[in-house]
Amino acid sequence: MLRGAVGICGFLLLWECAVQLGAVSAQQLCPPSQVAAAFFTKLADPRPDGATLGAHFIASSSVALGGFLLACLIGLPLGLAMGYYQPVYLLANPIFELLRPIPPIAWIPIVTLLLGIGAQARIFIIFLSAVVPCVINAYTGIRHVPERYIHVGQSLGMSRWRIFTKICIPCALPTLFVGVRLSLNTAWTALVAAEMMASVRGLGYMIQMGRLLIQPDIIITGMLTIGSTGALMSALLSLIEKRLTKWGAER
Amino acid sequence: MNGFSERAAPRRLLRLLPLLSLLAFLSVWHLAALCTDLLATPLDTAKALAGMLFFPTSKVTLLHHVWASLCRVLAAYALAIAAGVLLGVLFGWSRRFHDYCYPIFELLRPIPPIAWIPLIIMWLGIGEPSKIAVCFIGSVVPILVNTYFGVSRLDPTYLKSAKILGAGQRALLTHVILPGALPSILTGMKVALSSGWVCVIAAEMIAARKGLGYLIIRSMESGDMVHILVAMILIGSVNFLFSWLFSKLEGVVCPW
Amino acid sequence: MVGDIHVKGLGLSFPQQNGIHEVLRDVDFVIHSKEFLVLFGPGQCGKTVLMEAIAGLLPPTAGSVEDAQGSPLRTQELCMVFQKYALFPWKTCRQNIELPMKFKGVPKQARRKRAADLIHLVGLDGFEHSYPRQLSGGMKQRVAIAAAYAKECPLLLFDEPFGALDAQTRLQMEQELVRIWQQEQKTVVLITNSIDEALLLGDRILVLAGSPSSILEEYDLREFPRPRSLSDRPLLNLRQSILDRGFFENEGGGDLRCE
Repeated sequence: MLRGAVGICGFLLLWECAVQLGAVSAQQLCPPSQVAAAFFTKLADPRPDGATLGAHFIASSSVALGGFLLACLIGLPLGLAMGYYQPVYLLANPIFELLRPIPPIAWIPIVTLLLGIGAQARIFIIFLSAVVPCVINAYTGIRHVPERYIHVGQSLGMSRWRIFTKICIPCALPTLFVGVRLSLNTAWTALVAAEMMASVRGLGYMIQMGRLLIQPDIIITGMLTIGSTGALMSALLSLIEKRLTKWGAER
Repeated sequence: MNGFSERAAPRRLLRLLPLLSLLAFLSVWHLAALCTDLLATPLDTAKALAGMLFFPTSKVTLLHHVWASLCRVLAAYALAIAAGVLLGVLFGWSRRFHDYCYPIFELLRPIPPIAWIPLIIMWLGIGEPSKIAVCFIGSVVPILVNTYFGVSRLDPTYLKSAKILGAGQRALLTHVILPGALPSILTGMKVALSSGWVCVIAAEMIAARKGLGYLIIRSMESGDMVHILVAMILIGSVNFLFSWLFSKLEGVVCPW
Repeated sequence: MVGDIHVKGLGLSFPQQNGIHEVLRDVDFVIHSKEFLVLFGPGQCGKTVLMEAIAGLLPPTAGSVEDAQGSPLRTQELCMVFQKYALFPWKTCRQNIELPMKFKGVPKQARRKRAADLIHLVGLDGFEHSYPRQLSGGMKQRVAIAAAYAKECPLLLFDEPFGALDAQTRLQMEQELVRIWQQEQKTVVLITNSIDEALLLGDRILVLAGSPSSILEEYDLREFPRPRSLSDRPLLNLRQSILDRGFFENEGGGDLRCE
């Protein structure tokens, strides 16, 4: 919308002027022009923290995606099983509910002490945070399958397993996707936290370094890169979701 | 309930399963602690926790840390509610304001609150204001978004009806818009509290002199596993308490 | 405001993707003071749109709605009961009924008393503190009617108020509405797409049909005594003659601006 463009331009203009005219100290905030310059420089320049923007980005994304995929591979089946088979629920739920309130960042110290600060440690932390929405949404998705669908399956003589795979899982797919999207979001946020505290690579590390070296342009470049990557991944997932669940939630 | 078919498995056995799994969890923990040098056993952890809570002479600062974190989160939360509801209503109420300003919000929204920490610390130092600021950012977003959704999704018939019944602008706000959006606002507030708590801990872990986040980082640096676990349990418990309080609150504030 | 209300040459059009859609054209009629006027017609949108124009919620594209003195109607002088229950779910029965009085600035004591009277009038004693979700459809509409009467205005507009009710409740509510109207002596304009409802309720029936819609016919029922019954021979004859006119033979054209 035109108004939106006007709004954003106005915002950027205000920002630029505020710094150029000295209303805000140049130490603390740099104008958007400088941020843009830093962005393009950093694409190729490994200074001052040892890697180009691209390298950081790849490091971050690979770790985040790794943890995310692991969380989906383990969390989704677990959640689905918990929703369908009561013994699984009774076994897994207490532990899950016990560990769930602990935020992912609180896991960082213990994981760092036990696994160091390599990529595996970060993947594990991301896994811990991303697995929660997967499990919860998979569980909820199965629980909300209308009874009558299951009855139809039973009256057709389908085995429990077939009902599970042919009826329940497709029905739960929309909720599953919401969970997957949430999971990716959570994974990305946990990644930033992990990188800020226990890493020598990645976008989170980059902005930490930016602070230590008092370079607000690098910090803001990093922040915007993190933000836009997160948004892009979300948008991509939404697209895939729309394609795969074209039949809609109710049939 | 669906999905669970009637099984022949005896009821009693099923009831025991949660207990068994908890016991298994504790045993695995205990074994792991004995095997590796680093982990602390459940027993040690429990002892330390009890010791700190009930015998404040050993570490009077534990509750002090919890209190410090709580103060920050609650201060930021109050600010976030005020700002979030105000902005959310403005966005939902005025088409113009929404069209001009919402894109700016959308630009900043995907940036995780944790990513704001370095910038905020650069601006505000490592005192109280920076923690409250980070927590504010984490809390204001869910409240704003949910308030906006609540206001914009309000059935226009309610507004028409209120106008017909003689409501002025202010009456429209207090009698129709705010109560109508309240369920949404409460959902946002619930998420915001949890999110704010996480942000405060994160901010404290990066640069602070007191608080649970600071405690956990200090314990990590000194390799003090017991205190790490104690801090984790406390952080998790507060989180759980917040969720529980909210579910009780919802029933009272929103009886419809 | 006393006296008749004149709807003069009212027209309403809406811009749509493929041009302008004209819903009402040249609607011309008089609403007599204290009468029960029924607007009868098929479909949904033309009638609702006309109501909203009279209520001042929609500005007409042509024509006007004026009172006896020639000035436009003010919001204080009318009230509307909507098709979809417009009770506020976050207010109890009594709070919903007190609302128009609150907006007017009526003091608490007087509000309470009037609300209690109205609750009794619509037969909902005992439900003052219930929330709308606890009430049935018929009860909700009764609250809506009570709230409309609480506004103390001379003109009341009802937009298919009983459309969503089952047949039995509907019959009951129709009788209730006539009883309340006779007691409170206000001008009522009611929209319906049920010929039976129109015959049971109206002093006059105006047929609104066509595309774009306008007033096609007027029937005067003041000679039929109340309470009316559809087993009454003269009334049945009138019913048949209306049906024979075939006003709604060719309905169903175009997509209307429906909500």
